[in-house]
Amino acid sequence: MRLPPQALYLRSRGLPGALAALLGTAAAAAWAAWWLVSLPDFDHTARLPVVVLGPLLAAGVIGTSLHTPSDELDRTAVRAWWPRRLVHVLAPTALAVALLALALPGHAEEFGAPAAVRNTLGLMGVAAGATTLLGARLSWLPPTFYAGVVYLAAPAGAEGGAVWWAWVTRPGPEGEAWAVAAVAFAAGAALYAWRGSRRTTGEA
Amino acid sequence: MTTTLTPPRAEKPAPARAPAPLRTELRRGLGPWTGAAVALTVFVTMYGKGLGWQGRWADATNLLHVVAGLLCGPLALAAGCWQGGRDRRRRTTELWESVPRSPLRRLLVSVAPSALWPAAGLLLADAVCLLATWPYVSAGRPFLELLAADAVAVAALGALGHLAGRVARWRLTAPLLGIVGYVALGLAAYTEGTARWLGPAGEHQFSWDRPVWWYGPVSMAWTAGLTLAVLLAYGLRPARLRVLALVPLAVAVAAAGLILRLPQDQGPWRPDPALSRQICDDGTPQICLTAVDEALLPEVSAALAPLNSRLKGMPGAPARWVGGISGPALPGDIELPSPRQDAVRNRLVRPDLYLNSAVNWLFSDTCQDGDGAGPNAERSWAIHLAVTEWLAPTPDDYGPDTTGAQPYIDRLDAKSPAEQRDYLTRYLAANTCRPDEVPIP
Repeated sequence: MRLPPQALYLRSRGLPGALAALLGTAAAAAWAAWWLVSLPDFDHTARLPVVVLGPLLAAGVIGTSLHTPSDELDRTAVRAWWPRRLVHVLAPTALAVALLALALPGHAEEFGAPAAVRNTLGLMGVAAGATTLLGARLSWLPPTFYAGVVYLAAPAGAEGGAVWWAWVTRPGPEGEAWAVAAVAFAAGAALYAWRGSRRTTGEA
Repeated sequence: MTTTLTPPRAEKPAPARAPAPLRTELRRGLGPWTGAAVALTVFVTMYGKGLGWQGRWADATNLLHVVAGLLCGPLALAAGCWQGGRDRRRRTTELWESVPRSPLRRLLVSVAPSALWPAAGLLLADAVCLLATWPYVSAGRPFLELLAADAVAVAALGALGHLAGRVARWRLTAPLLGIVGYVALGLAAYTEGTARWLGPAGEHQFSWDRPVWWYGPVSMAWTAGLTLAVLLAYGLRPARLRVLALVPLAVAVAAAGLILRLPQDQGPWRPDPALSRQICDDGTPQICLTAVDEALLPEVSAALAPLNSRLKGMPGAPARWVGGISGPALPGDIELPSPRQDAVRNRLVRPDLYLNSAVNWLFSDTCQDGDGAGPNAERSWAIHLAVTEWLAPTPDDYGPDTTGAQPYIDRLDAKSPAEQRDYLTRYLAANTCRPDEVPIP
């Protein structure tokens, strides 16, 4: 059977597995959010870990799917790669955004769908940028490191410019946090579309 | 004439000695970056949490312990997992098999950067934070054995992550392991029950306690024993030698048994009388703090000085202000708000706010249900606000609106010192739970 080139592309990047992992991430996030809220003495504000870790895992899934096993061969193609790369970042991110928004219903003013969407976009931007700088297979590390550092260090209030540097821990409707996440996504996606993954033959 | 050109005889140069494989492994790859990331994680979190931990060894050690367990542990796990998959990514696994060294030795050399670098980064950050705490503490000692146990736990997680990376081929193993690590270690830290003290992030926020002496070493035996057992079971060949893995496993199980026998609520922590000993100044009323806050005593004395000068020798005035764990123990003792929460590097950030809260605590009566009601309740509240405001004005950016109390404040200000003293004596003697008994200025 002769597969269309799109299908070959999807298979070479392991995208079916990545899509399955995205579905699993969203299901796990939905269950974790429900479980946290159902605990005694906890309310909907307890969903913060889900709003951070769910998008983090989604960014890791999409970031690692940007790896190509035949980088040098790809670069000999006569067609421009940047539209394909851009679609490869945008389409799975749109899917992840939709799935995670559905996984966290209600309480948009705190840690609901808007916060999950913002964090997915922002962390995906960081992962896409890391793909260009470090390589696709290690692209999960910078967003994981950032989220880990910020999670405990962020103050409960907005003092000390936390809406800017700790955007991943902020409630949904804050404009500053959205601005940082949007810039991160635009810059990361553009950098990846322009340069592609870092070539990592014989990587450490 | 022919001459034979013979090159001058030279000593054969000694072959350059290759650096030891362990050294090369430690210097290359993700290891040094992991150490730097762990240290940076600790620094950023400690700085972000405010510098309130700088005054007590217990506060600094506890925060470092939580950061190590909750944040550095998962990071070490994920980075170790990545490092563990290196040989498979490079397709050098078979090359390593051809090296004339035992499999266990090769395994230990390749695990070393995943385990040692996070531990080194953590120890460096711990040392810097403890040095930053040292000038400001009053009593006690840093719990170095707990910090050493944290470093061993982080190294153990790095090594376990490395093994997972060797075994699992899936490209999402490393990030997934990191995220599962965050969740699992976080849940373990907040569970009820003794098992909490097995996890590397069990929190204990009580500044007058110290851990039992054996808890640090036994925690190390638990985490290191478990990891060593897994490493031996994986790396020892031929297979019959794997029985040796039972030795560290037995040590780990014995250590876990000891930890699980600790009391459920307080775990390994016991009150330390040397830390909760009271230290008092020589003013009237006397101000007493616990030994851990001794360095704050001059600051608290200075903050309360205007209030104490009014209360000195007055009937019904407190005999002692008592802060800390023991609380008011004798008749005439009044509890002080904790000065440590408002202090940075042994200086009260807002002495005016501290004085204001001390006055509020002085006038707080424990009322029964139904007390404080009646036609005069509103007036009583306004007088309470006025007296508080007159003794310790509320800072402008803080506290309730005092407009309603202003007439009473003006009347208090207009009185002569003897009348003011007389009124304050009557106010201190009145039961503020009964609004009708509160004297009007």
